[in-house]
Amino acid sequence: MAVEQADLLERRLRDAVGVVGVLAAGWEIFEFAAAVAAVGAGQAADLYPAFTFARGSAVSGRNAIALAPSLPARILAPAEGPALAADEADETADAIARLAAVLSERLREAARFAADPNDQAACQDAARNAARICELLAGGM
Amino acid sequence: MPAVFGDFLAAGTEHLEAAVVVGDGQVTQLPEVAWGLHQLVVVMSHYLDDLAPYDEIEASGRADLHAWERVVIDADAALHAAADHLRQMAEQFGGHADPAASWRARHLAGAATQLTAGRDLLHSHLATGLNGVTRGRSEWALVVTSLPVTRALASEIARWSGQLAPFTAWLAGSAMTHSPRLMPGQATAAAIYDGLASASQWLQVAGTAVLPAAYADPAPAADTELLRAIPAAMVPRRLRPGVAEESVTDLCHGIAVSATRLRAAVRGSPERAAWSPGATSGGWQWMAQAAAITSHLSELTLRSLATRAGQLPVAPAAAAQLHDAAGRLVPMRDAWRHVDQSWDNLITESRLLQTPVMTEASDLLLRMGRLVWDNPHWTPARADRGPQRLPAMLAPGTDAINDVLAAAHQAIDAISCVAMADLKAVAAADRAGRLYVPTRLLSDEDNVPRRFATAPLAQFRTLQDAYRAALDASAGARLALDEIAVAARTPSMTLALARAAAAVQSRRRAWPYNDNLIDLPPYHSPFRNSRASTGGAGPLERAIKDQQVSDPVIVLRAVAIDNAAERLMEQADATPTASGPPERRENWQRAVRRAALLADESFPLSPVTRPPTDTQRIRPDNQPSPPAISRPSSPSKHSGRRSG
Repeated sequence: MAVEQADLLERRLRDAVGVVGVLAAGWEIFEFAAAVAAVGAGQAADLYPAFTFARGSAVSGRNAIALAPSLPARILAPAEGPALAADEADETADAIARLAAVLSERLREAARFAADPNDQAACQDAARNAARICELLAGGM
Repeated sequence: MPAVFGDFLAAGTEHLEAAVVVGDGQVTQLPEVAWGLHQLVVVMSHYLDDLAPYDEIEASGRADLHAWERVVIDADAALHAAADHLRQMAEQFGGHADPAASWRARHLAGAATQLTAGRDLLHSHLATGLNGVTRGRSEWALVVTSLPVTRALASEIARWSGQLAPFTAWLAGSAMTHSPRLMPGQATAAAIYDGLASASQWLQVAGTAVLPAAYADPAPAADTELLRAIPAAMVPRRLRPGVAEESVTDLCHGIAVSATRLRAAVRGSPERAAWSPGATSGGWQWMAQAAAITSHLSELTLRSLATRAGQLPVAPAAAAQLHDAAGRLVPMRDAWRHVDQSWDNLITESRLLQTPVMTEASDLLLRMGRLVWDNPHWTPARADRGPQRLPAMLAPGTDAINDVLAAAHQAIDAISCVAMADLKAVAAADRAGRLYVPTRLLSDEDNVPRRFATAPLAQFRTLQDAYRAALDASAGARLALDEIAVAARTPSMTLALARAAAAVQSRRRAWPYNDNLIDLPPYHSPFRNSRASTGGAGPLERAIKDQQVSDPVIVLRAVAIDNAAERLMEQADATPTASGPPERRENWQRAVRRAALLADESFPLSPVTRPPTDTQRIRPDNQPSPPAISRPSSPSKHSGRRSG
């Protein structure tokens, strides 16, 4: 469920046009990642630290975007926090890590194209947070 | 680890016992020995000067003295009298003499030196300002001034006096018998004899002065144990977690060091919160995440220890007790998680900066993780996880169980200190008008023409309540671990003894000391004061102490009840009422603050600092900063401050 939602958000992000589009998609993704990480923290004891810090980064990323002047006034309501089965924690972590990696890349790109320095700063901050989520949740033992 | 008081006490005792050995022979080099004795008694009287709440005259009119306070005053007077007699007698010999001339004098001088060093160590926890007010310099300050330490010190000084009294009498006899050979110059045998005999009697008085108090309120062995364990007020060097694998013992040691450093790092953070760019919402939120994770890791550690305790024929702590303590860490973790979530919509004007508190908390978390997970390179990242360490690998024997238990105890104790400090710090930050909300996160009804607004009162209240819950849960977990640590006699049991002792203060002269004060609410109720919030005794604790009960367990329970009562009063405050005075007052204060902020043209351009170069695997995330936003073009646009 969460994996499908992540894929959907990734497609939306790839289709986003311009700084405004990336900011709006980024907002939605950070909200989604925070919700998923909050649920994921309770799913597996060994992933509690990674999900907890990832949730923090997602909130920081969203707050970075919140201060971007070009963020549209109307933003999509945050996606419902999906329910995760215990055996989905790893799969979900992989999906969020992939999504965060793409988001980080798109935000860096947006920062280069943004005309307003405050948009640039917001995109850069948000990109760092997305990269951190990826670093925390990317898999492999 | 730093030197402890016991090091100096043991060395001094060794010198004392060597010096007072009385054989069949007579004393030689009496001037040197007498001078050394005088010096030692002076140092002993300095200890009692430190402990005495009043001088002899002031105390004579008081009926409210604790038995041990009375002892200290009486013994102090006796030691001063002994020192006076010894000084006068030493002057008969012409004053200062070289202790090197006599082995006995050397031992007396050595004892005096060790005692002086020990006293210096105790004083290293206290600092007297230009205004004469003494304040604590470390978390041990309240232990140094506690009744248990007073009891232990008074007992030690009395013991020393008791050993010196017969020795001094022997010296007197020796002086009388061999005066022509021993006394140069103008000294007369009778004067020397009188001086030493009188000093001996006063030393005997000082030695026996403790008896009434020892009978009324016996000093438990734990008092002396605590006294001996008081360290110098110095923070150990950081043990940076490296790439090399650390053994369980090394990890436990590293955790104790990080916990000590973390406790030291949080001191003063409430004061810094009002102005320091280093005190940020990102930092506080990251700390809440780290606290939740540390609680989680500690829970896993205790559960593993419980399993191991069940496997061993004899274990220092029962498996059920360890499971119970682990269970106390679950609400602690959840409470910190709630703190983390309460920060989601709040920001400060400055960016996240790596602070010493975060560095120490990172080290602590990393080592706790490496204790739990069988991967020497463990980090919170998913890629660095590992299988859980087997209980038998974590703690092969009873000593190892104690070491690991002590590590968890240290970690939880340090996190509890963080809870207290951060609760005060966020209140200070709010009072300073440093908490904001991104306007995007407000409802559409809030028409704020800026990208951020002053944090609404309700949000701040939620945050504050979350911190209080975290403090309560952390204190509960810490108490459970205190009890196990004392029962199992882990290396960390000193933390529990120190906390129990600090709750029972003895009065000191010129000591209006209260190191832990935060602003008290202007509306008074006895239940609005507790040790958790003010650092001072709450109503029940005072009542217990008024009954001259100093049993640490009873006092700790009284402290816990006072803390709970205060929390309940605060919850009652938060309940909506038609005319709640605190709420109204706070809204008014916020309105005043908003007015002041409106006049502050410079706000969005206040400090913008970059986070330091990332050198660690664990680090908080960067957080966007309101100052990065350009200033409004017209001052009129500043009118969008949100009402509280």
